[in-house]
Parts: sequence; structure tokens; C-alpha cells
Amino acid sequence: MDLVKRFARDKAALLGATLLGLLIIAAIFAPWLAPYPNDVFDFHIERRLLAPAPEALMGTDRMGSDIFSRLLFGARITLMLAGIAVGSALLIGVPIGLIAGYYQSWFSDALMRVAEIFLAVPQIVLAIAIAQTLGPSIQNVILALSLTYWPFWARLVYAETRSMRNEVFVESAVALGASPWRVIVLHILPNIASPIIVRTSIGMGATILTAATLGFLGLGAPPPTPEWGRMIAESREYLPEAWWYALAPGIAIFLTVLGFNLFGDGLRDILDPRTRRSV
Amino acid sequence: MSALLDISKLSLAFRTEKGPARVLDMIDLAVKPGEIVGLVGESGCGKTTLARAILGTLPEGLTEIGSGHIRLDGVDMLRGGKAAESIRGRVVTFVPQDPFASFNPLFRIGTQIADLMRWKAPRPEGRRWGGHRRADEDAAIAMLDAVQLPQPRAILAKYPHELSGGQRQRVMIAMALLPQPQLIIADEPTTALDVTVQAQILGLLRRLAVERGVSVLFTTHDLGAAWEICDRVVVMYAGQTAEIAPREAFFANPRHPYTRMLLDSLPEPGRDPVGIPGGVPSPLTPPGGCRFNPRCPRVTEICRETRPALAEHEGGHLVACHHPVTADAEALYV
Amino acid sequence: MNWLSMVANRLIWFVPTLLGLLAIVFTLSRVVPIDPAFLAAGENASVEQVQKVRERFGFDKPLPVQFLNYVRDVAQGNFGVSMFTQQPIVNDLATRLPATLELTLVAVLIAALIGIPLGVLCGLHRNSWLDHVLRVVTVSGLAVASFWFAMQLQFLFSMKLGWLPLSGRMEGFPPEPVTGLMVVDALIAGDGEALASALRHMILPAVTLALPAAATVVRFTRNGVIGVINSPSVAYQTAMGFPRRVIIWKYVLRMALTATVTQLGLIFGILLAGAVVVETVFDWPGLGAYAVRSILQSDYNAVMGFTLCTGALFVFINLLVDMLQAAIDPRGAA
Repeated sequence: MDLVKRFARDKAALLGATLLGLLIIAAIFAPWLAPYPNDVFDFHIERRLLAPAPEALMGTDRMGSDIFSRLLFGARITLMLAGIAVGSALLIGVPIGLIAGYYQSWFSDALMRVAEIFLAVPQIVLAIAIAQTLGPSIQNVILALSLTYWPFWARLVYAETRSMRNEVFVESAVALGASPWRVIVLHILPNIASPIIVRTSIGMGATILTAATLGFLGLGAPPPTPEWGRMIAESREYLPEAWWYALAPGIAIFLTVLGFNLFGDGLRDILDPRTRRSV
Repeated sequence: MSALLDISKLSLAFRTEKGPARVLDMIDLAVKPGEIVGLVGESGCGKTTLARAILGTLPEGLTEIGSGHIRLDGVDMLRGGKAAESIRGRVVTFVPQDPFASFNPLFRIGTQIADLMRWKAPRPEGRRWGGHRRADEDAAIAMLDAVQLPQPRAILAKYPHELSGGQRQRVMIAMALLPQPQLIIADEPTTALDVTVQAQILGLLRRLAVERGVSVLFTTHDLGAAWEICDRVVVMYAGQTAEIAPREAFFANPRHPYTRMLLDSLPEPGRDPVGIPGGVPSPLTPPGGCRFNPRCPRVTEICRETRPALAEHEGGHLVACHHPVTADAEALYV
Repeated sequence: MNWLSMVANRLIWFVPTLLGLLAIVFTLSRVVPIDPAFLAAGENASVEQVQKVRERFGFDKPLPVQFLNYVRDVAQGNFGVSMFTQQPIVNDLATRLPATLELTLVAVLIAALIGIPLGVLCGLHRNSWLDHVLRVVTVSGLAVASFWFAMQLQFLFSMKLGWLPLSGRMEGFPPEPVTGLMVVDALIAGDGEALASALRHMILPAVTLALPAAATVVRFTRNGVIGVINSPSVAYQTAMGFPRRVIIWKYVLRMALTATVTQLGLIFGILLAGAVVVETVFDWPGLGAYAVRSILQSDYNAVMGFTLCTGALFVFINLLVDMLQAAIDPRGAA
């Protein structure tokens, strides 16, 4: 495969893929990889706030739990949360964008106006407001993120669809009597898939950052959920003594987002020739 | 008379993912002072690459020069460094193919002309700096007038997008003439324009060049345009020189089978145009010998093995062919 | 499209956009299972007190009526009273806006001063070691959680090294408020001590806020330069012998900056979102910290006031960006 070869030659994209691979392995095998799998819920006051040592690679937290073990389980939460949130945002946003872009009517205008209203304030502000209103839980964080993220997809797909609408092959399909449904699914969607796929990867990174921010502000899952943002928030009052406390989750977030961004950039280079970084 | 521009045995390749693309293969070409030379060939034959080699705008790091030299007024344009740089815009100027994209859209025409004059306009010795603004502007306005642009002062204050394609190409010709060059390289200068404007621009270019004694190297794929303005025609095929001839001889008595077929492919009253079967070979895997051999009706074994040398037939008519066409037209298909 | 009609279009949609924004936040604030009147009255309030609060804030009326009342109040410049500061929201926002503006402006300055030159250098020397290093840095800068980065800066520079203050905006007495921007006010008052304190407090939050914005500026400027450097207009100027430095720092830079300006709206979005988090971590008394506190305390009037203020600011900034773009690009907002 030519595409795979080109991707493999891009070192940065390969690094991204490796980071994502490690993340997925950590998420799947967390119970086996973690030295203290029960530390997600258990606490041991006698071992609290220990610096990194062979028996606790990344130290222990305020409850005496092993930070490394909690980090591995946190990968599960992070991936699941961002995956479902971005997935549902796509499920809402893509059809709206397609329909609004295909049919030029007052209705599609109105749809896009609603999307723009959401885009008029930073996503994080609306997400905080929704998450706070619904109460702290993982489901509500997911809901808050999807509800505030779909307009981005609607606008993207809308713009792409509109430019496709004027392409000769689409017009000729319409002229030949193809049903709108058929034109959208068979002619337009495959041609706008590349930018959607590329941005899904980068969007995963952005969503993980936003989700971590919600966790940091105390709007995510309640303790003792091993959510990375919340772990960092907990560590604040133990600085500067427990320097290791925030270090590991922060680096975990960084590497995860980095992985998705590099992977997305690499995908863009092979899938989306218009914006390709030239050699 | 010695040549102003002298290109000899120039070979050049672009590095690509699939290996070197040999776009120019032992090109010979000379332009004498005051002469208008047409460089004719299909797209992809290497004529724009040749123009860019003279002008120093080949993609850096991707170009490999195999052999040969380009000398302009005695200066090596391929490896000339500073000397070549200072000649560009002064001894040799340029009329680009695309007058739409060749201006910077964010600056007024006047600014772009002023910057050219500031660095390239002929100055009396010892007075390179300052005190020229007024004189530069007057010279620019006179030149815009010479290229028949109405209200030249107003044009200086305009942005490129406010002019039509034809007007922009007139400005380009004015800019090419302002430094008082000895050679203008015009790379398909009318391709991007409306047909009605093309003839006017060509006529203007020829008249101004002849008046001022400036040589022009004019690349085109349009034989009609070459007929309009050239003194001499050079035919290129797939990076090789096929035939060089004075204009009349070229159109009346073409010797190379490719030239002959090229002329036959033109629509003419009383005769059906004949296409040339096959396509231009890829520069990645050019055929051996004469690069035209896969498409040539007169091909024999020697054409595949040996590259024919450019040989003089009569009065400045040079042909690179093992089996040149004779005056008898029917002899094309042996 | 004419840029005037573009601006007009934005202005026409300004009010509906804000109304829609209000409707969304209002709906959110009223679907909560908690009775806002209980919160406002306090934990130990009697039933009668709660009822009083309910009537005072209009919580007893049907939702559409409450919304219309709210919209009417807002139109008269009355955003209601914060349940916690007991101050009119307009006053709260007005006292906190300058702090956010000051922080954001300094961050924009840092991002532009660092990002533009680096972006130009990367674009000019594509695939050089500098380009590769900065690519790693920019991709990383966009992948770091700003709250974590802020904490690490606090840990290193405040707690360990003790060079910079941990949080807040000022030590001792602030200068006489004139503009609300501490640095400017300190300059006006001629208070060197306050100026030093303001600047020292500013460094860590501004750097945190500027990091992702600077990374974005570097990427856009770099890609802008690369896009322009390969354009026909640069090829033309090179062929005409324009000095390299004039081509780059006059013509290319202007084009690349135009491309970056179109992304200013996006960059302000990044900054505004960043301010929410950064202000919270650094206890910076701006709008962002106010919003987070109001949300966590279910202070709905304050949340709606903030959302409206941010939305208006955002629409306004986009309008400014459009006008700026029209001003620097003579082709108009295409």
C-alpha cells in the first residue's frame, strides 16, 4: 500500500501512532499491567505521598494509592470518554452539515445559525456550564462535550458539502436523476471523508484536553475515579513537597494529545492533498 | 556576429521520488543581438525549464545540472553566483506566462515598478542611490505609455487585481523593457489571455523589441504565434533540439519529421489536420537515441541506437535527424 | 463579496446570535434539579425567606416569562445581581474585564513577537534543523494541558526558585485605577514599585496563556511563507533580479501576515478559552476566574452575564478581524 508506506516514512506520524498504540495497550491491559490494580479504590494511609521508588514507580497519592496503577486505569477513562464524546458529536454534526450543505434553504441557514451560536463562545465555557448543571459524573462530561462539539463538525461538513455540491460529478449525478440520499451517501460523503478523518484524530486530542480541564475544575467524575485532570487538581495542595504527584498525569495527558495530533498531521499528509505539508 | 545568449550541450535533470527526470538533453541554442527567437514545442518538452534555467528560478535542491553551460553576455548563468544575479533584471528580463499570479496582489503596481527600478534601472556611474524617485516615475509613465496603456499615472496607483489580463501583460512588458535589457525572455506570454488580446500583445512585443534592438527568446506551443513575431524558430521535442531554422524556411520547408507532423496537425483550408499518434515520452524513462523514434514514421534501427547530431543543411537550417524529410512532401511516409 | 456587506452581515446577525446564546444558557440554568432560590437564600433560610427570594428574582413565574423579563433587563443594561457578591453583574464584569484584557493583550504580544519571526524563519528554511525543532515545540505546545503547565511553572519559579509570585495581580496597594490595566495605571501614576510588581505577577500567567497561541502563530506564519515563497510572483521577482531580502521581508512577509490575520479570530478563541483556566490557576481576578467561580456556585445571573459578555466580545473581535483583513488586503475579504 502506497499510503501506508508514505505514512511509515513520516517519523513524526509514526511516533504519534506508537504513542496511541501504547495508550490503547495501557487501556486494555490496565488490570494486568498495573502493579496494584486495586488501588483505584483502595487506600493505604500509611503509604500516602511517597516519592517515586521501585515499589511505587511514580510515587503514591494523598490516599496512599499507587499513581502508576491509577494512571493506567485513567487511560481507559480518557479513551472511552473522548471516543464517545467525539463519536456522538460526529453523529450529530455530520448529518446536519451534509443536509444543510446539500439543500440550500432557509432551514439549512437556520441550522447553521444555531451551530454558529454555539461557536460564538469558547467550547470550554459552555461545557463547564453544562457539566455543572448536570452534576459531576462521567456520563455528564461526555454529554457536555458532545453537545458543545457538534457545531464544529456541522460547520466543517457544511462548508465541504457546499463546495462539493458544485462539482461536475455531483451535478451530473443529480441530472441523471439520482436521489438526494444516493448523491449524499455515494458521491459527496466519500469525497469529504478525508478532512473528517484527519480532524477526528486532532479533535480527539482537543477533546481530551477539554475533558481533563473539566476534571481539573472538579466537574468530572467524582473521586476516587482515576481521571487524569482530577488527579492533577488533587495534587495542587501538596505542592511543592509532592512534586511527583502531578508530574505523571500531566505527562500522560501531554503524550496522549501529542499522539493524536501527530497521527492526525500524518493522516492529513497522506489523505488531504490540498493542505499537505510539502516535502 | 557573436551570440548574446549561448547555450551549449545543456543537460539537466530533476530529482524525483522515482529517480532523475531528464528534462533537458544536450540542448544547443544561440540568440544573436536584436534577434527574436521562437522556442516551440508541446507542453512538457522542456521549454519552460530552459527559460527558468536562464532566469535562475529552477527549484533549489531538486535540480541536477548534468553538462553544458548557459552564457549570457559572457556571464555563466548556471554557476555565476553574484555576477549572474546582477545580470538578471538588467541584461536579461522576463515576461511571465501568468500575468495574474506574477504580481504580488498586496502592493500597488507603482510600488512594484519602483522597487524594480530602484535595484535594476540603468544609473549613471556613482549615482546608485537617492534622487531618482522623480526620474524613475517619469520613466515608468513613459514606458506605460509606450505599451499603449491609457492613463499611465492612474495605473501606477492601482492594485494588480484592478487591471484586466491584457493590461497586466502590458505592464509586464513595460517592466521587462524599463531596465533597458539586451534580452527579454517571454515564456508563453499570451497563453493566459483572450484570443483577441493575444495578437495585440504579440505585435506590441515585436514592435518594441525591434525598435529598441532587444533580443527576445519567446517560448510557445502555438505555431501561429511563432509565425507572427519570430525571426528564427527552434523546435524542441522531449528535452532535445529537433530543428532550428529561419522563419520562412521553417514553415515552407520543414526537415525534421516531428516539425513536419506538427505543421500537418494545424487546421488549414483544403486539408484535414493530421494528429501525431502516441504521446510525449516520460522524462523518467526516455527512449534511447532520438527521443522521437517511438512516434516517427521514418524510424530505423539507427534512430533507436544513436542520437542524431544537429547538422546544418543550408543557410542556417539545422536538423537533428538521421532521415530528414526532403523537399518532396510525399516522402514523409517511407 | 464586498467587505462592507460582510461587515453589515455580521452586524445583522449580532443580536440574534446573542439572543440564541442567552436562550441556551437560560435553558441550561433552569433545567437544574436544584432550586436556585434555595441557593440564593442560603442554607439556613426559612421557608418564608426562600419564598421571598423566589419572588424577588422572579423564579416563581413561568419560564418563558422569566426569559422575556431577562432579555428586557439585559436590553436595558441590567444583567441582574450576583447572588454571591451581591453586586450588580454589570459592575462585576466591568471590574474584571480589564484584568482579562491586560493578560490577553500581553499574551497576544508575546505570541506575535515570538511567533511571527520564528514562523518566517521556519518557512524560509524548511526542513532545516530549526524547522524540525520548532515543529516539535509547536506540536508540543498545543498538546500541553495549560492548567498543568501553569502548575509546573508555579512549582519551579515560585515555590522552588522564589523568583516570581505564585498568584494574584499585585502586591501592596494598586495604583489609582484609570484604565484598569495595572501596568498602564502604574505608568500613569509613576509608581515604579507597582509597575515592577504588576509585571512580575504578569509573567507566568501570560506565558502560559501565550504558549498555545504562539505555537499557532508559528504554524500559520510558516505555512503562509511556504505558500508564498513558491508562488509565481516570487518566481517573477527572482527572475527579475530583485534582491532576496527585499522579496522576503517586504513582499513575502506581507503576504504571510495576511494569511495569519485571517486566523486571528481562532487565536483569540484559544486565548479566551485559555484565560478561563489560567486565571483560575493563578487567581487572576479576571472574567475567566469569575466565570468558573460563578458556575461552580450556580450563580446563574453571573454565568449568563459572562456568556453574553464573551459572546459579544467574540463577535466583535471577528468583526475587527474582518475589517483589518479588508484594510491590509486590497482584494477585499474574499
